[in-house]
Amino acid sequence: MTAKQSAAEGVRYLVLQAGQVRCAVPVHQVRRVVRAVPVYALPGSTQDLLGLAEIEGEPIPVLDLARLIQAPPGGTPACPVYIIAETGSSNRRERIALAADAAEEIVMLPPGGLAGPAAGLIQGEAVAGGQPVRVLNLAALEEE
Amino acid sequence: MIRERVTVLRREGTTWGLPGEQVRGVVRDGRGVQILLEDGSIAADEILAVHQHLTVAPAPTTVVRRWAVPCRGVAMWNGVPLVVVDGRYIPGFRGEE
Repeated sequence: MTAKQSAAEGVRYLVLQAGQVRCAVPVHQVRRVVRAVPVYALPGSTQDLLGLAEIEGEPIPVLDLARLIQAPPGGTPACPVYIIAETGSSNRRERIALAADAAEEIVMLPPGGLAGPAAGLIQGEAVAGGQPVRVLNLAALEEE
Repeated sequence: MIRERVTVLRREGTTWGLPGEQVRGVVRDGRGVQILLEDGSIAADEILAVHQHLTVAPAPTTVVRRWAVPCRGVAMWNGVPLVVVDGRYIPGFRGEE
């Protein structure tokens, strides 16, 4: 498949569960997905910053994805994961981890198929697998 | 990244990194371990290590934006991620009166 064909057909997204909300992150913004590991809290930090975790030998800040998108909390996740992504400018890239309840599947969403208003991390809504998903743009984390 | 002398301590369940140049001494008394600084002291639950060349990375922007404590950097010690902060911001700090 050529890049042109791929762009015409859509963009690949990783579907995640965050609290009671399904969301989708562009695959090209995801560096990797790892099983959740212990996180070391920073006393007095904002609630969306869970703390630091050791990932590949480095201290990486862990953000609570459900809080970032204001999703109602879900039950105890069976297989919590961290989505590793990079933020920041080209001269100072930083790795972050987004804590999610589960990584479910990779789907193709059609270009321009988003509904609803964009706000912060949320670009809009789409339907994947017959269910609504909130489509996220992790680049918005750089603009906070 | 820089390599610096860091005292690694535990206080209230959190592992902290204290810049080595701030440490004037350590005393053990009936309350536990007191780390003496130039302008006060920290009551630590435990001193875990004094690392001569700990690799300290700049504080991630993600942390700086979400934590009121001025963070000098982050590091790994013995598999545990920690923040390196001025001792005055570590819980248990008591300034000289």
